[in-house]
Amino acid sequence: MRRVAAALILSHRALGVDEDALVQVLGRMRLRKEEGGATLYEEGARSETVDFLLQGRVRVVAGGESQELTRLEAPAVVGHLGVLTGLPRSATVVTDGPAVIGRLEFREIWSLVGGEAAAGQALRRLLLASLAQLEGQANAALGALLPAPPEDKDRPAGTVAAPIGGPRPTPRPRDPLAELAAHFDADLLAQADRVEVVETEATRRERYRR
Amino acid sequence: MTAAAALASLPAFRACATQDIERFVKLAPPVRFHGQSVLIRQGEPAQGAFLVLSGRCRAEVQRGDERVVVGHVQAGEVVGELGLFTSAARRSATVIAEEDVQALLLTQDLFDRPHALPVLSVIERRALATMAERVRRSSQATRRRRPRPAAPAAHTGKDWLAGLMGALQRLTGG
Repeated sequence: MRRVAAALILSHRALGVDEDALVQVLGRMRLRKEEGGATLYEEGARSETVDFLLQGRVRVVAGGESQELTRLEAPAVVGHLGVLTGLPRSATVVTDGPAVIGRLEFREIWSLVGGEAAAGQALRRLLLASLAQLEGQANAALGALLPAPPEDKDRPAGTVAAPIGGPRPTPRPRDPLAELAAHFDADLLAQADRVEVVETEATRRERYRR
Repeated sequence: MTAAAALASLPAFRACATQDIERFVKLAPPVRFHGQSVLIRQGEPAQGAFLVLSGRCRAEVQRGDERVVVGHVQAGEVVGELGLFTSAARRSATVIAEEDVQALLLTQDLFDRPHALPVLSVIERRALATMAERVRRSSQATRRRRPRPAAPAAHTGKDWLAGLMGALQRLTGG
């Protein structure tokens, strides 16, 4: 388990995770071997466990296998998003060949994460590092799907846009979703709901002015 | 109000002991920003984060020559937390103080302490929930925009005829 703990810390670039403490966490897991094609989680099911992929690979798919979201290779953490948000599984996870899985139950995770013990701290930081990686990947994937920013034809070649704090451009009314796509950035998309509210207000103000 | 008193007054940290609060404030230096000053600038390397103790900030994203307000940060919230849990990331938004802001600077050095910091544990637990929620929303936004794989073409009479002709040609070697 020590080797697995070290590999988990390294692969997630986790900061401040004590290896001994993570070994304690791994010692609490229920280990099982799975053949290829075994379903670990079903999209829409209740999120009750977090799995540590110790050996092998898994495929993460959505919409009844029609959309492969990603493939993960050991060592990896799977299923923590649902447990941490308290929402049902957002995707199906299927083993891609033989795999060894370590499973932690919902109650155990929360008692560890909520506590002050070294094991809890190690689990918390490993999950945070994993979430940070996922956030980067999700934002990059989303960025690739969105159109490039509009060309600024008035700006002379080689100059940059007015910095933050400079004069504000006149707001133009437009579709909030189009705005969202045109102004993509990591946190912007992450907070999509709030963007829509901001833009709706701007649009409404513009309409009043008319 | 001192930084320690401001931290102790935040609901999430009320359960922390006074000595833990005071110890944490010594490790995470208090910083003050005047209204309209920039805490975090989009595109810069992400190193560390801020725990806002008082005041309000807004997060803006600049794309081309336009800016969009993507959210607000209130007292008790951490801003720039990706710079705390990862290395080699870049700031994805600019955060500006809308009024005078008091904050604690959280650096990655905080993780290297041999003894647990209860205040840091509270920050980590809150970050787990907010980051998980954000990843989920980002992933869902990606899935909504990803083009669906093309459905297999319907089997038409022409396909069937072409297939039959191909098979006949193979059989006859022609």
